[in-house]
Amino acid sequence: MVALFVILFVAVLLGIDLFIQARHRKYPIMAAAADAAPAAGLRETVRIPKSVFFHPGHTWARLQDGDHLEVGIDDFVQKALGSIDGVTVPAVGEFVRQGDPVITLRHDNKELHLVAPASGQVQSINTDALENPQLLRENPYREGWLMMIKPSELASNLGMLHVAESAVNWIKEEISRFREFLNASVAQPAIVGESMLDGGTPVSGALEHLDGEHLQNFEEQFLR
Amino acid sequence: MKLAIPRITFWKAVAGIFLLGGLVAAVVRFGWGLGVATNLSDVTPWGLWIGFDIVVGVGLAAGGFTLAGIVHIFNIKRFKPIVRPAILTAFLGYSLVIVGLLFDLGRPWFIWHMLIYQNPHSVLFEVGMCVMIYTTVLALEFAPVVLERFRLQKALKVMKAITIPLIILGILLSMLHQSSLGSLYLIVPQKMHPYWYSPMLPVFFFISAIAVGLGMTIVESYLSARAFQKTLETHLLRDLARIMFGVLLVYFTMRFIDLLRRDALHYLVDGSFETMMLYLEFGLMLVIPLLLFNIRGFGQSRAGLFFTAFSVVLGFMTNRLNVTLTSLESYYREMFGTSYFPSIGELAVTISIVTAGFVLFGLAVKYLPIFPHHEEETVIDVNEAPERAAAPKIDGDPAAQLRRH
Repeated sequence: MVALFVILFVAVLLGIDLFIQARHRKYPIMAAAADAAPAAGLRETVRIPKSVFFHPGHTWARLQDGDHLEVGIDDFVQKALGSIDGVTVPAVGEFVRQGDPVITLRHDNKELHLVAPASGQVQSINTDALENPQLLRENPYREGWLMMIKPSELASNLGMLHVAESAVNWIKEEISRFREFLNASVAQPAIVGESMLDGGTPVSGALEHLDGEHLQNFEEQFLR
Repeated sequence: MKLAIPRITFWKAVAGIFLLGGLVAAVVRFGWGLGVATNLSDVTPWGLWIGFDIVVGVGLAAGGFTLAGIVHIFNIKRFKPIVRPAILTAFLGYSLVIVGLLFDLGRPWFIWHMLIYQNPHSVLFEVGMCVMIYTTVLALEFAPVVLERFRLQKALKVMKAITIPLIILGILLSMLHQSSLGSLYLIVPQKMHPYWYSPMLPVFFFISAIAVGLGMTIVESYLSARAFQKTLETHLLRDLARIMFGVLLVYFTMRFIDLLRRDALHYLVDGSFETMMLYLEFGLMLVIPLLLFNIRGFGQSRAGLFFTAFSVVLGFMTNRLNVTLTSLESYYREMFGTSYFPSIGELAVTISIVTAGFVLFGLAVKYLPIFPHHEEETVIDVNEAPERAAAPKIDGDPAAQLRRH
């Protein structure tokens, strides 16, 4: 009886904690953002690590061991897409060129193509992230890395990328531009649905509501 | 000077009440003795304080030697970022086990007698000595964290030089007393229910401690990441969970073979309270975690890992309490017509000890370099991004007018 009492007591405490957490997450869209970005509490946020280089096409690169680049997609685009059902990247050994679309994200039947942030040969790919795209959502800059490349033109490639304060200013500009893009799309309410009618400016999952044509517009304007 | 008053959250208020309750119970215990403060008796001399504070507590603290062994002995360095929190949990866990023991001993001020009037034939003596030495070893293993915090480089260098011998000693001591806790119950085969009495108890205690040590590391990492807004090493915890399941599968295979060999399986359909508790133990420790971990899209997530590990921890608690308390209940009932349920004072002490563990862990994480330094990052609030000029009224394709220049 004592064992049962103890387990029930702990389970009740866990239940209370879940209830409190659920109350804090009153708005699911905010909760999703908070879950992906623990440092941000319950706000809808976009994270920019200081040592990561960002391509204007919303992919990133981080120098590893001096001669390799880890590559992935940034927090902005993964939040905008909402959920990712599948990811495709080039095979090991393939050569990718900076600015060429090489990463494909899938959601429902829609696809987004993202460019390589730098040129080089693919040395390895993160099969964990490909099998479990949830990792991109949890931390796109760590567990969510997609491939490791051996850069061929590192110095000139890095010159094209945003880093530190430049990256922060750029992403703020991108959020504003994205807001305008969505506001423009909301002229046709069916396109973005209810999420834009509450007066807020959501980013999380906003792309889920766009049809193929507008998604292609997004790709052309934001991911190149 | 303006004083900053910390914000009182629900859990802080609850912790305060629990600690206050424990304080009152401690005054009653040490002021009026065990007879007034507890429901323990000559028939039921070991209750919640031994069952939970010590037997469960020591097991939950097993992450320290497990992780230290994985990283420093097996040289799997990628788990290094979670060694410190595991050692902190172990150090706090063992310290609180000692506090719990002081409550349970009739005359705690004679605890040092064990060192002088030794009884090397007693399992309890072995457990006592191991816990005492291992807590010292854990204090030394944890010392670099404090030395680092206060930048005591020379002392840090000395500590680093003796890290490996300390870790080996820690593993050795843990192997001894984690299993010996099970040996304590080998002397009461006639009192225990056949589900839980087994000559293999020491082995079962040791293997289950390894599994739950890993589970606790996942639980504490999740809770710390949540409370202190730190990045969670999800990929490492996922691998830990896989190792944990490997150990659990070995454990439950052995348990099943043991039940089969001792002809105890036929009780599984008797519908008794003990049978229900065994099902609860197996369900919480193996079945539910396995199901949770394999739910696509959830099991590998932060929350999925937490619930998986938390279920294992709950199952482990059920197992240890089943061994120490449930398995003896029918014996007490049939032989003495009595049963044991802890008093309010016993419950208050146990709850306050666990609460103290959480509070001390939180303070350590807040003020000491427990978790690895993470890359600095800027977090941009989407709604604070600057507004640009109002979008022009759109005719035709709205997006086309917003092309990047």
